[in-house]
Amino acid sequence: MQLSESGRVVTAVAVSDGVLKYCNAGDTAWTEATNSSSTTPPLDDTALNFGSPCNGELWYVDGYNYRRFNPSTGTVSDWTATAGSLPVDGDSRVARIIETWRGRIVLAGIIGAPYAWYMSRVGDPTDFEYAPATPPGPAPDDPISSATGPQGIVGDVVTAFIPFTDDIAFFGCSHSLYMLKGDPQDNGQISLVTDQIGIAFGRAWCKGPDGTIYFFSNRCGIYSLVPGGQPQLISAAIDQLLVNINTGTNRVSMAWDERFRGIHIWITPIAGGATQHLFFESRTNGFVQEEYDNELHNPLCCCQFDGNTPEDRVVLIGSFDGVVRFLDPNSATDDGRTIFSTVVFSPILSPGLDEMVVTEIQGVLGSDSGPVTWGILAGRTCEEALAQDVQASGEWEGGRNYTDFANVRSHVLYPQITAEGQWRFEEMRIVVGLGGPKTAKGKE
Amino acid sequence: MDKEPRIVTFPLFGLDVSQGPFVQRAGTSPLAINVRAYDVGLRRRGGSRPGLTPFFGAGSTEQVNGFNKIQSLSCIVTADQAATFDSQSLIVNFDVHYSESDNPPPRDSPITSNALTWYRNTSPTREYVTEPVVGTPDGGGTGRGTARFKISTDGVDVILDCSFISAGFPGPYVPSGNPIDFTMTQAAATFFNPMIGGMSSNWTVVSGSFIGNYFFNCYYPGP
Repeated sequence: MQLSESGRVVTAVAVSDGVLKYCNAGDTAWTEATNSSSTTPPLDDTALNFGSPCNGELWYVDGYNYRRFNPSTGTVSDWTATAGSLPVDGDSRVARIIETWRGRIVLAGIIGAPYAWYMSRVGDPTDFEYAPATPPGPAPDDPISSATGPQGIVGDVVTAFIPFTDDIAFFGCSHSLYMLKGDPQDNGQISLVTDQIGIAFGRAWCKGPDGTIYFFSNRCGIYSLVPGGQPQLISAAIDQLLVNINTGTNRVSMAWDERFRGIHIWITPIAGGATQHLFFESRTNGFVQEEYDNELHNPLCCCQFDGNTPEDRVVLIGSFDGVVRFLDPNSATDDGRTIFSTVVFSPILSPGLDEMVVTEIQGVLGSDSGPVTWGILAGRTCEEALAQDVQASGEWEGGRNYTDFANVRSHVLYPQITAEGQWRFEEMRIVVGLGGPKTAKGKE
Repeated sequence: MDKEPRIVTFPLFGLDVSQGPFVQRAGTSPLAINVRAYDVGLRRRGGSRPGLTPFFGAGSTEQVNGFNKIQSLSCIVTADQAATFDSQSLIVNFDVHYSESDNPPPRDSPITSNALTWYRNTSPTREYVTEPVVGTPDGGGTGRGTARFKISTDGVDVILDCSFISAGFPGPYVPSGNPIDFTMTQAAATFFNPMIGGMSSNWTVVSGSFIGNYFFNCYYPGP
């Protein structure tokens, strides 16, 4: 276990096949939690489950079970109410959405009550006693729900609950978004933000360090949101990559990565298979795609881990093969599998759409870069060029490379770099000229 | 157009497949897979993305529960109820400064007992001498005085004022409002638990001792 001046203990908790295991920062293996719950395993072995920390414990829902995990004792047990009762529907199904807000546990997503929400007493996740207190009336920290509070249900299927500040939270719904301002037990109000944009189910959202909320919408756009404003689409440049995603058969997980100052958007087919994920670079507002050569590495869930050492301040991902991993700046492979990277640069065009010829190309890579393969894509149109194989190629090593000579002619030229390891790019120099006068503006 | 060199830099603004290819926005790319605008060294120049490493380190095959897929991951932060604040824990770089108070009257300076030299200020206005304690305290000397201890914890300085109550019975106390209480023990010198003054109920020090001249071992029982 890592020691800290603050005395804090950072514990990662994973659920696999319904079994709950945990490890503290610095540990080298998972430890199975002692199961004192009423079922074995303690959680459903296939259902999506979420945990939320409150009062030094993790509180879990999976649609069938309420469970609590105490990291100090390493014990998972039934989460039962000490006052009132935890919400269930007529078929004994329980919540599937859980978050902590204002010291309350917030529950939603019950199949039989999809529009409802429930909040525990402030500071006591086991108190769901909604009955009004004796006069002068409910206290501000009393439990409250959509059935007992004047705010009522939100009118749309709740798919996410996003705590923003102690005063503001959002209900993400199937096709709408509501803002909850103020504690509902203290005259808080729910107001519609938009009835045009919803949030994908679960935790298809994250928050940046400045508090900005980012979420994956029901219509497969990626939005940013700050209270008081409307959701802003930030994925317009890549809409055509998102528009065909099936949010029912894919699990969307998002996480802010403090080290790399961006957002991971992992879009993983629940049934497995190849897929492409996204990374949003917040410093340049640009998206890139990510692929893992091993489909079993595709993330099904993620969480921020905040240990003391650099390698323990990471976003953890859980995958199909049962291994928890993180994105490691010191790793040139995906846990031993090759990382195939490709980038196509902006096209080189002549001002008059003339045919051009590339005669020289020289690359400068970072001195600590691995090798890359450069190439020139060429075609009479951009689409044709992108669809073709490279017309010329060569290898560059780290540092300043010798000039390579080429003779690639066409109307559109795209430089490209591909690699199978870690590399760092500085710049390239390309010498281009016009093609012959006969073909300069010709169709062929 | 004569042949001309063009300098091409990385498409830092990422993918843009929303426009006609002939009007590709400057600094964007029609295809960018497993690359980053900021390389793994966090320099803005372009490069490959970082790789995946098992949580327990490269080469680890530790699985949560066999080959079963992972359903959820969570993180929780708690306080270690049995943490000991040793040099890896709470208090490190314990710089000790001493000055006499102006009430009661100051003792001779420097106060020397065996190998210990407490430097003191020469003014009743508490101009603290910054030289550290030299040697090993043996009993605190005689008379009354006030020692000021500056503890650096994670970049935050905590100032403790301790008084020598009487000859042969050196007992520091923490003035009201001071967040930390401690004792330190050495072969011939013992600083007892606070005799006067308020202390936070969260902080109770069991024992401590000099390690060299600057370090104390303290115990934090948790909140």
